Amino acid sequence: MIGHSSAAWAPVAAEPSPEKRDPMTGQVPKQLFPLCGVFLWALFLPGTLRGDDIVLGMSAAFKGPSRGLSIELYRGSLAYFEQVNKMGGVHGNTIHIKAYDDGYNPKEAIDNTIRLVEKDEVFLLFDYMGTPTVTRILPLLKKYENRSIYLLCPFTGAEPQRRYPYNELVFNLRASYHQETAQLVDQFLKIGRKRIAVFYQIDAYGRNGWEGVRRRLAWHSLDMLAEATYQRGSLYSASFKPQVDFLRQANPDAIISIGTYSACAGFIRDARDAGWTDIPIANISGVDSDNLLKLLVEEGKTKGKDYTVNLLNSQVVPSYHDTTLPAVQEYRQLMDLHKPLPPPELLDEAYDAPTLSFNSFEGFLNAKLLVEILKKVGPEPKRERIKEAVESIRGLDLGIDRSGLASKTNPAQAGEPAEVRVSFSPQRHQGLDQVYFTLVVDGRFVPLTDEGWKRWRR
Amino acid sequence: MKRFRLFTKALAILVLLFGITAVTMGGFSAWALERNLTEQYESKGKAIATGLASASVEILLFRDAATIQALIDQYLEEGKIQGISYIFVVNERGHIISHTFFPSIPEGVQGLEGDRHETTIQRIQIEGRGDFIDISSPILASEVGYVHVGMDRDLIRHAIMAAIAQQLILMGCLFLLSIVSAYVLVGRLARPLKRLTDYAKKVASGEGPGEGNDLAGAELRPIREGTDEVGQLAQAFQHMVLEISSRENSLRKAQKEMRSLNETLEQRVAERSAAAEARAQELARANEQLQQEIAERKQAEAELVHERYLLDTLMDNVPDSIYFKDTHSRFLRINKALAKRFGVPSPSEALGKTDFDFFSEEHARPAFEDEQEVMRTGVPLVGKEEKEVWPDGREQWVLTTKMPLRDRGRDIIGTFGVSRDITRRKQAQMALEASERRYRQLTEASLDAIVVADQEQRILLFNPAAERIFGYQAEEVVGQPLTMLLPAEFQDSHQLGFRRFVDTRQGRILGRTVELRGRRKDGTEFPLELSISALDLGGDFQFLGAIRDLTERNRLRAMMVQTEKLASIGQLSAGVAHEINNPLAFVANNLIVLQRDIKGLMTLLDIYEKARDRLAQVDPESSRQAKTVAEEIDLDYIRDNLDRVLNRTSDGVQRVTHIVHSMRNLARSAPPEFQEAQIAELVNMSLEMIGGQARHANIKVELDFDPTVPKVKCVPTQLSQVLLNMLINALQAITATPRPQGGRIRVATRGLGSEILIEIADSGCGIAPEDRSRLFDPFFTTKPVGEGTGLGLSIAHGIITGHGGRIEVESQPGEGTCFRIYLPLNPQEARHGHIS
Repeated sequence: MIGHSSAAWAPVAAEPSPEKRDPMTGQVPKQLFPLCGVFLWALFLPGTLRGDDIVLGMSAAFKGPSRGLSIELYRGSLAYFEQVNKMGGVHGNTIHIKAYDDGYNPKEAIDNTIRLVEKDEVFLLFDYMGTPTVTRILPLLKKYENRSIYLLCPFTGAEPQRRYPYNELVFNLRASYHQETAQLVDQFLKIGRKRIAVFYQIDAYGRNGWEGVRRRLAWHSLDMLAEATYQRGSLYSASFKPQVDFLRQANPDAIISIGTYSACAGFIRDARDAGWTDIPIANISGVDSDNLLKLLVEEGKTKGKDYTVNLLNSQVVPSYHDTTLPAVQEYRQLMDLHKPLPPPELLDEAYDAPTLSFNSFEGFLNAKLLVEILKKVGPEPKRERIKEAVESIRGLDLGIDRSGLASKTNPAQAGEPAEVRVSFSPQRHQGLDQVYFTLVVDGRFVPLTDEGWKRWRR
Repeated sequence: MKRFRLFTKALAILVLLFGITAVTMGGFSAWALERNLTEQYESKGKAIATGLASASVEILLFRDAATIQALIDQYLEEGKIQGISYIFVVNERGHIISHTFFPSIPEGVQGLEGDRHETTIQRIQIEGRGDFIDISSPILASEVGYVHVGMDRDLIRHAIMAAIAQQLILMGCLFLLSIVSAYVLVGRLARPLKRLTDYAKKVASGEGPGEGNDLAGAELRPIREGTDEVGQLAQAFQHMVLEISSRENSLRKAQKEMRSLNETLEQRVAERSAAAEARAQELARANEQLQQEIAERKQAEAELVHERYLLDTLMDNVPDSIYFKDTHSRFLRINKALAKRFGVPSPSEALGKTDFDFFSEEHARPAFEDEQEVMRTGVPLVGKEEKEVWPDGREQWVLTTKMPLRDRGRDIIGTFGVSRDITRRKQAQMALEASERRYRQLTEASLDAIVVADQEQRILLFNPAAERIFGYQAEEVVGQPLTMLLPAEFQDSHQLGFRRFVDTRQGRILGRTVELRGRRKDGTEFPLELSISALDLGGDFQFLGAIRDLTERNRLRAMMVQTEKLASIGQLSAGVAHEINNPLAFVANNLIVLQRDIKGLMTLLDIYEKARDRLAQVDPESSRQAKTVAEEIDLDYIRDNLDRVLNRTSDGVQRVTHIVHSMRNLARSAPPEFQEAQIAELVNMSLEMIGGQARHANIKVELDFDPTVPKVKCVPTQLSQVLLNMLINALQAITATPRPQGGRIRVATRGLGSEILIEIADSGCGIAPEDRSRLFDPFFTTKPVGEGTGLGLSIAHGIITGHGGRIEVESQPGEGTCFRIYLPLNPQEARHGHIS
């Protein structure tokens, strides 16, 4: 219903040819009537389609300093699901997300997961956010293995769910943190910046990114220059002066920052305020770059200073500014149309949503993948069929594949991968491997090309 | 005062005691606590370190730092394990690969050494962070690395300080409490001792016992309740005084009671002897009377003996039943034959009994009434056939005669009668009647037509089903030739077959079922199924034909085929609707975007327009080009028209969306769920579906919605189905008889208190009166095969009754039909019928 053809119906391609419509009378072509008449008979037939609800379970931070990450993810997915439901669902089944707040804490995530599985009896787990939380619920999945409880599209690039024994129960869409950090390290080394320091969240997430950097450096026979940490749940208002001072002492060439937006923005603020402006600071996709940018732009406005210089991000989805991509067109259209928000009872205070974001775009792509999976699972969804359905996906275009598009030569995209298709198999439980880089120009993200990297050449 | 002296001594001892206790306890518990907590921390740290070391082996070998981090984080998560300050894991090369330090790894930690095989404990000081106990445990004999766990020694110090402070406060409180209680205790000891002394003095001076109870109670009560030694002394003393006085009193009382008891005992023995003598005399008198009566009765009986002998002879030998009854129909006498029938050993057993004792009420009641009638009128009842029903259900038929019994003065004193058993004759007769009746009913009740003809092919029997099928009355055809029921084409072969059978006794179709065609009275032909059997009536033959009308069956069969076909078309179109739906949604969404964007573009164009003159001065070439293009595309027209075009497109798309949605909604049989719905909306939705067809057929749709109609609890999809069905019927009724001026459908709603009325009226062909009763039957349709399944109204009826409502029809053939649907506002109070 939605899948492959959807791209073809995006705004540009959907232009109907003029002779098929009749603008003066506004009438529907008469050919439709016989069809309509035929359909009336369906009235008297037993229903061929059953309208069930497919409930997806989600545990993520909807409260606290990391909530922006989850809310954006949720919004993106919801926009797509709402559209699918509006058009009649998948095989007539509508899709709903049952979400609980875990505040980015492992204990609550475990409780929520048990509740989702035992009480809500959700069809599958979806859009979980966070490495420390996901890492800890993995043994639960193992416990529920005989019930075929799968976790799909978690928002984390961490390794544990990509490795034995948990890789069998998790299907990832995004590239891993190791892939992101490896490419960041490579890029920095390419421009001669070898003294790399890491600022990270002292938990499984930070450690995972730290590990990625350390390994890539070791691969190049280099050591990490210095490391500083912060505690999960630190607020933007906290001071990161000690970390800035500590790292600056070591005099690095570049900083790779593995954290969430509140702390990472705070770190950047304190680094720049301390006059340390020339050092490039790279963040990875787990930071929620749009909320990071929002904080820095606001800070910049009040202090009359630009905090976005030398700020770069690695992303696992293409830029939502790239409207040549059908998925981006669709995403922007549906976000505009549905203006999705999480249910207010999940939030502790009002959330000022950015209209568009990398995180919500990732949530949107997650939802697209899920709908494709549900289509393969069939009209009577059974958990036992999920694994086979996902593993049978080959060469799926979610609308971010550029190889078939006319506008291949978009200058902004040089250096980005052209063919982006999603494939799974029994050995492969991660759909995408692409990593994209962005830079902030005039308060918005722009793609960072190989050429662009050269500004930091040493 | 003496008690002050006592108190001061006690206080001095207390202070001394507390002082010594506080100092020794404080010192000791600080020492014990320090040792204890340190041990505890060390063992805790040891447990964690060794536990982590053994758990980490595999993870480290797999080189997954994140999992190790998650593992060690568990120990440091809020409030988990007290005292633990840091954990870090070092790999075999001495690099820290997971830790919990922030903001950075303190210096000196990295160099901490450990033993290859043992868990080691050392005290370390980290500058700026404090004192720690560092416990180091090797992972796989240090081949893989070490786990270090740091326990916070400052916490131990804080714990000791807090414990000592608490102890001192507690001691202070206890000390204060002791002083207060010492003061009270000394006071309470001295006061009662003094009172006791005073009391003893009083007793000794002669004011003692006698009426001394009060004195003792009043004076000593405050002390008496105590259980201490002083209290016990006071109680013992008081008891002694009380005991002396009470013993004297009780001795006096006992002597007085003894005397009065003796007097009452003697009086009672005298009263009992007088009552027994009066009773014996009454019994003797009653005996004498009884013997006299018996003698009289014996004499009368002797006189009757002879007459009874004659009667007995008669009665004993007649085979018919004979009886005599009194005015109350009680048996006075019966003969032996009757006694035998009653099943009693001798006739005398029946005396005084009535028919009610032997027969069932069913027989006894009319018999009793007959006898009363005979007695009242004096007219005998002769030769009546009666059914006798015995209590065990056995039935017998008798021929009975009843006559009045008169005494010598001709007064009627009862009845007598004779009856003869005719059961066997009667049964034979009834069996014959029943058989005839059964046969008649069988043929009459048969749904199949049964026609019996004789050898000359004349119709002998024509049952009601045959009347119904062929349209003839039995009297019209009996005696007529059989061929009148056959169409001309079959008559020859029929004759042939018939004659062959008469000649050869071989019938080709006998005992088989064949399909033929029949002819009705009105000349129409119809398919039928015929089976013929020959009845041999002793030489003569009769033929019995069982005939079934196949018209209906054939029609149903055709309909089933049609329904099957429609089902597959329905499924197909559900799929088509699905496919349309998707591009349609994009068209609709894009249209919204387009409308918005074009508005913006037009505004932009307006601004450019305004600046056109100035542009002409600055850049005449561009200005000229712009003008040419504007003329070419007729900009003014576009400007006027664009909005209109877009709006109409949008209207059109919306209509298509509506239609596709309606189609999809119908295909989806969602589980029925009661919701509040506005009837007008449902009507409008349904009208949307037939709107195009209505316009096409030049039919005007009038709507008359009562705005006061509240929302109704219903299953909207089902109700839409009903409404749509009604509207389609209306549409088809109108198009069945096309008129040049077109037609009219009127839909109205009215609120009627607890229910609402939906009226759907059309100006169509109407419904014939004879069809009206079958209107809601399944598969009844007046439409040609292929156009109507005959299910629509039947389903509608089911849905409406399922909602607790009802449908009424009013129709004038040739003028139109009006369906009225009444729905209760809250159907759940009604019942759930069709809902599922």
